[in-house]
Amino acid sequence: MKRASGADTNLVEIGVGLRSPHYSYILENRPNISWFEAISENYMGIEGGTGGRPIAILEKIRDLYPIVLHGVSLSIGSTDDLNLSYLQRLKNLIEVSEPLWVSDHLCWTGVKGENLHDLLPLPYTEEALNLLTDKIIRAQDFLKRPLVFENVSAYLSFEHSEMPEWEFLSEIANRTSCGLLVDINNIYVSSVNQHFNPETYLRNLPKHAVKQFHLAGHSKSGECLIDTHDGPVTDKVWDLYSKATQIYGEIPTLIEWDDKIPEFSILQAEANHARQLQQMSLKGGHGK
Amino acid sequence: MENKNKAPSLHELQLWMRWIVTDPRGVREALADPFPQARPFLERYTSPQKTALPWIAETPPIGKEERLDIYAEAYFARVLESMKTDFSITARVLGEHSFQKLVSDYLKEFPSRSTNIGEVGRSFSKFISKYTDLKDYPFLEPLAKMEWTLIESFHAENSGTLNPSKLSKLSNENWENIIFKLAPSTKLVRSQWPLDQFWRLLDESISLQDQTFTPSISRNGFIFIRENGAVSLETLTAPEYFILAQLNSGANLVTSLEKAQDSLPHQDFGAEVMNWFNQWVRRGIICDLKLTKEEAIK
Repeated sequence: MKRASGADTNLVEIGVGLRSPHYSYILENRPNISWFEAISENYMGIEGGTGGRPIAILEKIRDLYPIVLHGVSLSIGSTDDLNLSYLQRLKNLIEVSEPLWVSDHLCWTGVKGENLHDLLPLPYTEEALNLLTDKIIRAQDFLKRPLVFENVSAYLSFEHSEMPEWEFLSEIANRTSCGLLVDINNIYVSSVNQHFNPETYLRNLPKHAVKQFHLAGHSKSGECLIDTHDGPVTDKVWDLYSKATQIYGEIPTLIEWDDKIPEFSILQAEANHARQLQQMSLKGGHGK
Repeated sequence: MENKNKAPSLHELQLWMRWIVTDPRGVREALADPFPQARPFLERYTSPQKTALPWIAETPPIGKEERLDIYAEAYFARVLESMKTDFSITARVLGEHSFQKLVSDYLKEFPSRSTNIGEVGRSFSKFISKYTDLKDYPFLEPLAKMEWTLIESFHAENSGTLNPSKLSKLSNENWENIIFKLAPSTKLVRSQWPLDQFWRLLDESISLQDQTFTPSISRNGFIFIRENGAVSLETLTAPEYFILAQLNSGANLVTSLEKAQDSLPHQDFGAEVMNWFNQWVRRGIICDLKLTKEEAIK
């Protein structure tokens, strides 16, 4: 099958989230972007139909650029069992899109068969660790590949959590060999909402497991920060990203923008800025 | 009083959060009255016995209710936005407030059970057909059904195209034993309602003022066609609809034509059949053929 030139799993540099308003621009102008991250569910179709324009576009872009799949509905933290129908559709999409890696979120999105279509927070307990460990291992076995999991923005935390979030993520990575997608904006948003030090979080993740960074914009609602992905990355998040690159080095980084989506050139400028920061950090010679 | 010494299990926590996030009354009202009296869809308004509220961390200055409210608002806003996109004409026709109430009531009976938010509206037209609040708008059900059919056509499985040269090789015997397959994205619909008029309203520059939707005496045939990824709706003549419906049910072309002639004795369409047929093949409406008998295409 035809693959994008230069696509390899050691890819570094900066990618951009693939969104439908940019399809034509990308195909006609072939912008200088290292790779694209596609939301898995946008290309999995509906029950009874997985064809049409979305998958045709994804195949075209796959032929031009490396692709990474990023899901929002695996619901790995739900007490419901694994959704094998969903996993099979994801597996089919993986075969078609040949992603460099596949990610989803360390959260739950529904229970008892109902879906709330949100990335809901987990208590960081041994019970949750055991559930996630079992489900992640089984999902990875089903897909025959390791998965990568992202930390979510949280607007609340639980009294009965037994460990901080970074320890929970580390333990999941150690027990399942999954990778971690570290969303820098999510760390910042949660740190403000829950009053913890984002640098402590960053410095306590297992270096070997960190496979990708996310950068996105957020907004303010009263005293709370909301992970809206509807604007540019904020200065505070860029600062945190600089620290992350000093700690973790060359990690593939993605610019996410999901609402009030601007012209592609704006995303490209954000990607260029991330690239500059990454290069500056590397020249600075910092390391963990 | 809740026993604060025993934390909820993960399952109990998720059941409680599902309730508080999706209770149509909103977080504050739901927390104030977690076990209301009998009302329709009572389970959607009733807290699980084990509450998780004491186990949500106090982190001033933002209160627990406000934190839960972020999730509750995001849940409904996200579903509403998706439904507005998928049922854009229905939403325009009803206006913001009525559409929002309709969606809120719909979710009580049909909460999302799909991993794809784009499938939330699968049962929307079915719900509308029994929704008494809007019984004075009988066109809403066929309108919503049309909008969902568009989505089904848009996502339908891909199919190949039938090479016209394959047709030229068919013998007379072949034609009697051949079944033509319609593309999965092709949807045939009969309705008394002016689906073509509904369809044109996808163009938001067309004003809704002066639009009246009146059912015709008899049902008309419509076809959804996907070409280059875009779906369009077209009206069909009675014989076109009849023949395509016959082909779609597995009848061969000869039988389909005979049945069409029997059913529509006053319509003389013989001269047009080949034109229609060629067009159906060219546009990918007919995407494949197979012989019903073990017989090679000569």
